[in-house]
Amino acid sequence: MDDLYLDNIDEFVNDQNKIVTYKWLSLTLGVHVNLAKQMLYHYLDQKRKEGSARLHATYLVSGKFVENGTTSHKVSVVREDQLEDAKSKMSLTVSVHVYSVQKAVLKDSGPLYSADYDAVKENLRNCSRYSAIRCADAVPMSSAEVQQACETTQAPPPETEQIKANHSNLASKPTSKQPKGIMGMFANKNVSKSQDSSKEIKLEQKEDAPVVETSKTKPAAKTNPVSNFFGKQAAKKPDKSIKEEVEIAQTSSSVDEKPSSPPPKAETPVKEELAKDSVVEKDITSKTKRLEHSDSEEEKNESRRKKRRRIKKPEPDSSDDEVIPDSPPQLQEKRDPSPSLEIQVKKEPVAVSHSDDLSDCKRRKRRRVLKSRTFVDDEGCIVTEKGYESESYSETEDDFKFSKPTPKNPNPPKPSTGKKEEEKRSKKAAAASNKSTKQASIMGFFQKK
Amino acid sequence: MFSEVSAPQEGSCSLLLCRPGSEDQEPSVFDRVKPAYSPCSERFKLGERSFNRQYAHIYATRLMQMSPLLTERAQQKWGADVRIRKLCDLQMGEQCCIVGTLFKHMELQPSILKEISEEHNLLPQPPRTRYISDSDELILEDELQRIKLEGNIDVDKFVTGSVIAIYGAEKNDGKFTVDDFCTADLPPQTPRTTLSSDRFVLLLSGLGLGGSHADSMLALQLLVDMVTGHLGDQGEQSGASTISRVLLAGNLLSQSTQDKDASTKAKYLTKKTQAGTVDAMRLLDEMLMQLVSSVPVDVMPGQYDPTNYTLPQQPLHHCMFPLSSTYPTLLLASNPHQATLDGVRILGTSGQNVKDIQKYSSMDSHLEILENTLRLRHLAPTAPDTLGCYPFYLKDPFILEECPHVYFSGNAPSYQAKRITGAEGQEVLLVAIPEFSSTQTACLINLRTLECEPIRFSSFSAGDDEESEMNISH
Amino acid sequence: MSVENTPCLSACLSAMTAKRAALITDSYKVVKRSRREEKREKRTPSPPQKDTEPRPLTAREIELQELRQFDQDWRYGPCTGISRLQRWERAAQHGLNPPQEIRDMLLSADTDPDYTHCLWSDYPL
Repeated sequence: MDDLYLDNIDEFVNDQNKIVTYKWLSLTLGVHVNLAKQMLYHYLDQKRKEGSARLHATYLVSGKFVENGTTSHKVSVVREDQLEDAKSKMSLTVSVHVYSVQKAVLKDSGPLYSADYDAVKENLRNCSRYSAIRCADAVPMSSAEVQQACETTQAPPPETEQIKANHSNLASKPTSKQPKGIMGMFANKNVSKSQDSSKEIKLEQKEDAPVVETSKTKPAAKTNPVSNFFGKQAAKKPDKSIKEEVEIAQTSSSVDEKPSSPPPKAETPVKEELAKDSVVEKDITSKTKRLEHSDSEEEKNESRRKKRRRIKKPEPDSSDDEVIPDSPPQLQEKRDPSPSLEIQVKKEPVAVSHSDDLSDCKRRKRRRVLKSRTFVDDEGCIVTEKGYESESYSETEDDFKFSKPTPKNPNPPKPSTGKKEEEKRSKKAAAASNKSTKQASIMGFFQKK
Repeated sequence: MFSEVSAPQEGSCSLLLCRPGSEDQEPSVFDRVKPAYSPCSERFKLGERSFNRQYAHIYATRLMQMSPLLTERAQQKWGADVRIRKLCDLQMGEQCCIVGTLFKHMELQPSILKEISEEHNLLPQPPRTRYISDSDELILEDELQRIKLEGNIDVDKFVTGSVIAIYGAEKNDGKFTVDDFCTADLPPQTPRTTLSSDRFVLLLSGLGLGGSHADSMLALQLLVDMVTGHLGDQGEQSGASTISRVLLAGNLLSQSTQDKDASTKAKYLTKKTQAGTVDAMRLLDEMLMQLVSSVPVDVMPGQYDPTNYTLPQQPLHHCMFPLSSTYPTLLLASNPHQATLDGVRILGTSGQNVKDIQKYSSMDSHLEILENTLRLRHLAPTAPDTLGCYPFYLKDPFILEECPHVYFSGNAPSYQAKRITGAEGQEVLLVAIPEFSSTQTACLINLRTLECEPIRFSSFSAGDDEESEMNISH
Repeated sequence: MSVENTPCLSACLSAMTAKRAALITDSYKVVKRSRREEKREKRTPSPPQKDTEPRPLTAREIELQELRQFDQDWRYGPCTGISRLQRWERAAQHGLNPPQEIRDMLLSADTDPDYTHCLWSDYPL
């Protein structure tokens, strides 16, 4: 058994033509690093005595090194022919040992790094097993402990809450009297030039019509200028435009590309909504999403409030499933940006047709949508993946989904909530959807190529 | 220093140059020393992040905190009865002392306002390494007013944001002629505990992973192997086991991982491209994994690392270290970072503060700048003027309240270290940690003696002979 | 927003001087700057007008006046962007001995924005 390793090394070096470093050998054979160093030396020594194969070795030399009056500790890897020279330069040699053995002569030391890399990577979890130093403290934590540690490190200092409160106080106070800063600007503009900007909003509404449903649920109507805005718009627009929309549904076959093409800016608020939704279950939103968040305290607070309400939010129902002949079951999993949203999505109001002739022109389509899923991976990290998935949908559902939200709920799965809030929401939904019907015309214009 | 600690006993030198198992001995395993460690970086952690304040608060609170100290210094220096004036009480020709914040007016300092107003007829200014010029002027501001300075004060050496006390008189032309000045100088120090044995802490910065310095990868691996007790003879390994902590001072990733296009390209075009930092972070995680399984490590972020840009930089997020963050030995620290290790107080930054002062003053040596900030008693005087900084209002966390024993800054072009002794007997070791990716050098500090020594890693490259060998190890 | 702008040391100064001259002389020493004061007066947009007619002040008005005095005391640093209480506490922390009755007043009316926030909080930064 004694010299079995010599054959092993010989096979690695000569047959497999590997660069055998002490570390690689130690990890491969499962022996202490110092033993591996000795093995390599033994092998080299033996081969040299036999005088058989031509072998090249590199050595590690370390020690005290004085240059220009500064003393340093120097650790270097040298070729065999430089060994004596390197040793002579050290004013005190601390260690010398074989670093690697290989068949070819090494021009530079780069390959030495790659030679170890894979072996080290494979053994990362116990990479210090064969080293000469043991560290009592370095014991991997269980996943529960990791979780805990993360929480403690991530937890904001206790006084934060209070400061935040202070701040929201600070921020909200001016709005009560006279809008301030950027929010103030927006508020003013909304009043003054709602007509101009309605165009952008329309775009947004149309493009992401199915998702808008999330934003319509914003309970804090007064604090959010954008939703205010929707409200106003809705008030102005009568329900007239449904017909127009149908036309578009018929004519534009390119509609199905619509959701997958990255929409312009307008997407931002939608994403934000999604992010907030996924926060409901997971505390950590994905980084990309967080980028979309504004940093303002006010908004954060607002979103927090929203979150809380959303959890118990009963959806205005989907009573009229059977009315629509074409309305497919797939509709339900049509859009689930994140698993946590799913429940909500399922209860989402289903398209309601106004008249029978409308349902005729419904078509089934496939389209690609960007979905994001949040899940906890095996290392305990929360990962949000975004990907395109194709799914089938019926053309009209977008257009009609919100045109007539039905306030009553035949199968009430809801926990008890304030009826008022619900009503408000559905009203708003109505508002938003009414508007969305109108925009069809403009979008249709853009869609045609 | 480290070499002596690790030097083998006579005769055992060639232990590894012999056949294994000849003495049938079990290879010895050393236990890592366990230091008493407590991080004290609380002041650099941001709880709330509110950006609706102006920076005037930082300057105001800085002056509030510093002026009692400087008043005291002024009285020490110019006598207890020295007249200390506010600028509004200043009498023409009266010899007095004023405490205030310096502002250096610089022609060449880049300014966005200037660029906008002049863009019609001027070519963009070429980027410079330095922004000082002969026309620079020093201005002292107190709470209410400002006054131009002249006389015995070296304009080029000072930077905006430093709080100092000046002594002199106002002249007819409304300028103040400075006869003398003083800074807050070293803060008081808690004496360190005496250690009975040699213990080391390894300081390292500028790994520059993901960069083009491929040859530094082997050097880095050698360093890791040395610290974790793989490399070298038993003597070396036992020496390495006395390294009680490793401190990474920023710029773990290379500047080249920062995608310059990202800010100019439309978002939807870059949607599917992977950021350059991803691979580099993976590499870092693997490297840290090897380290933390054997030694406690403090990881500070630096200028090019994925965390916030403004000082104080917050710790890197543990999500980026799926492997190594399972070890309790990994400590993700802020930048600046402060910790007490075996009674030795260590404070330092990843080097942004020093580099910024280098740009706006005539001082060149990182060590000199480091000493200067210590004497100003302020880690980053140029923040928030030319260095990004969070808008603090309650307290300026960069003011040194207690004198560290080791004061370092990372990413220096070369290794430098020096001991200084303060007027009240404070002992401070100043260390400029060199950038590892270009110098393959790290620093070992002996906590018992407060000595510092560079540790260099070298390998050979193509066409290597005597000369190039020398070059690598310079 | 205001964050990454080049900071200006004198921002605090201008904020402090931007106020009716009568009040300023109460807390500032008049030092060769009366002309500047006038100029500023003209340029500054006037804040929402509060009580102007000379009638006996209510207790609340007296308190508010005192608080405004506190806002204008340069020793305690700039007052915009933070609440009065935060400013008071900063001053206390740095040993500037701000008047205790101010703190009492602020604590007693901690929900009234006229109390909690400084004179210029209505102006955008």
